[in-house]
Amino acid sequence: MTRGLYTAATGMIHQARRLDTVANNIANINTYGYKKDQVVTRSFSDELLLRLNNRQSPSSQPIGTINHGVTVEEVVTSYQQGILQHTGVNTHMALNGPGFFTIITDDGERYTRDGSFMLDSLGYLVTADGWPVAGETGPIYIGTEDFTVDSMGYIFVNDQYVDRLQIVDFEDPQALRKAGHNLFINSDPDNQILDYQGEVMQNYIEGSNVDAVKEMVEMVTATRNYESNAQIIRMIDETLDKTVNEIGRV
Amino acid sequence: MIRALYSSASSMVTQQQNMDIISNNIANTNTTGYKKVRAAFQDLLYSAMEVRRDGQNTNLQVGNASRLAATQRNFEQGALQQTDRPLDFAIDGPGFFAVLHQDGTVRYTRDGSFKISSELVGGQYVNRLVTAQGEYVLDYNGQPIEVDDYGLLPYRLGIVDFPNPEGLAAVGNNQFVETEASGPPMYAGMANVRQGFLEASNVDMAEEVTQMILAQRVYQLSSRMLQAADEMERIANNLRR
Repeated sequence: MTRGLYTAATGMIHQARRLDTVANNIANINTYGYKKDQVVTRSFSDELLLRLNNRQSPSSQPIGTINHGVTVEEVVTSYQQGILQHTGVNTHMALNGPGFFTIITDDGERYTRDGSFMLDSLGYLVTADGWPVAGETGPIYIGTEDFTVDSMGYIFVNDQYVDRLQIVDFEDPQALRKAGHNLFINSDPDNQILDYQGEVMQNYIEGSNVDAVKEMVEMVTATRNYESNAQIIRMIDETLDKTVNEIGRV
Repeated sequence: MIRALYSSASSMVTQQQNMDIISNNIANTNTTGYKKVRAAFQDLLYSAMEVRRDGQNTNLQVGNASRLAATQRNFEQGALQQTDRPLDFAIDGPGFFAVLHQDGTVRYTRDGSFKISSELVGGQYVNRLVTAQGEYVLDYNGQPIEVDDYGLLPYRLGIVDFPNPEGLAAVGNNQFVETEASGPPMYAGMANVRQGFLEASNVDMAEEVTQMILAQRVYQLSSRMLQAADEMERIANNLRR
């Protein structure tokens, strides 16, 4: 009986974690290139229940399995395409299809879907934080002239080819970790980099792929689930109350 | 405590800032030479929900809401409005007028509604081209422009451009100042100046209202989320009656 108390508690903790993730998704509903997170639930591993003190057989007899609660298996990021918004700014770029822009930071290469780029004072293409966007030959120099980017990521300044955006796609995007600042980091060195198959769209920005309705539903189920787990605890508490205080009363 | 509580609170602050930016754009719909600003957001750092000791590379990160990453000014061309006033100028294409501020620094503007100021210089009256605030408009050599008696401009207006106009700092009065991010000013040789025209603000009302609705809804969603987190805390509090 008291086992159930702890099982219900793991349920409550788990639902609170789910809500944390939902809250982060909603907070980033307006963030360029944000990809939503989803919590995958897993039950604790099954344990075998055994009957002891059985007079008929000398050894204990298995009854069946039981598990003692629920936990987070992993957080899965959905790389579903976000909405493409036209901004009319020629340094803004969006990726239509899977893939990531490569960004050169002080800590190494990072990847992003947020194409709200700009030019820095030296004429290089940089992110909103000022990190250079990688071309195939390093940072991309644009200067002050007009430039265009075609769907394959080739950059032309005054119709002269300059560089190509280094856009990468990973065999296992789930091995990427979010590093904040709309950046992703590759956590698995064996993750194969694939050729980019999608389309680059200049003057566009990719919005977040968070769906408000789905998140609200997640929120409702998480709170209600939390509530029912709390009810179970309360019920067990009441039963314990009866056991302790009423049984044995004369 | 539940992290969701803080995430939603931080999200509400972010959207409030977004709303401030949008309302400033809307307020400047009729400002000559105004360039709209758009907020860009980023997700905050991620932390681990729990530490797995099995050594496997499992994703167990949870985010901590969003923040305002940058305000990006959009230097898209505003509509040219014909005024037929000879002292109104508009730049068709990139570039800025250079004006001399009272403190001796040079400021840059797209607002070309200039006036004439008559001043006594060396015993003679000269007519100088000034902005609405009385600052001298500069020519290609960085000198104030004198207008002759016929209202003609003997000098070329000093139109400058920057490597990164988005990096300019707005200082009010439709003016910008050079910063480290914008790079040094360069004289733009090919600037196309139209006399008798003014450049309207590039704020698009429909776009601003859409952004406003969006910001408001996200704010609302976040406040709901805050309520939900609070509700959870209440339930946990009332576990033992």
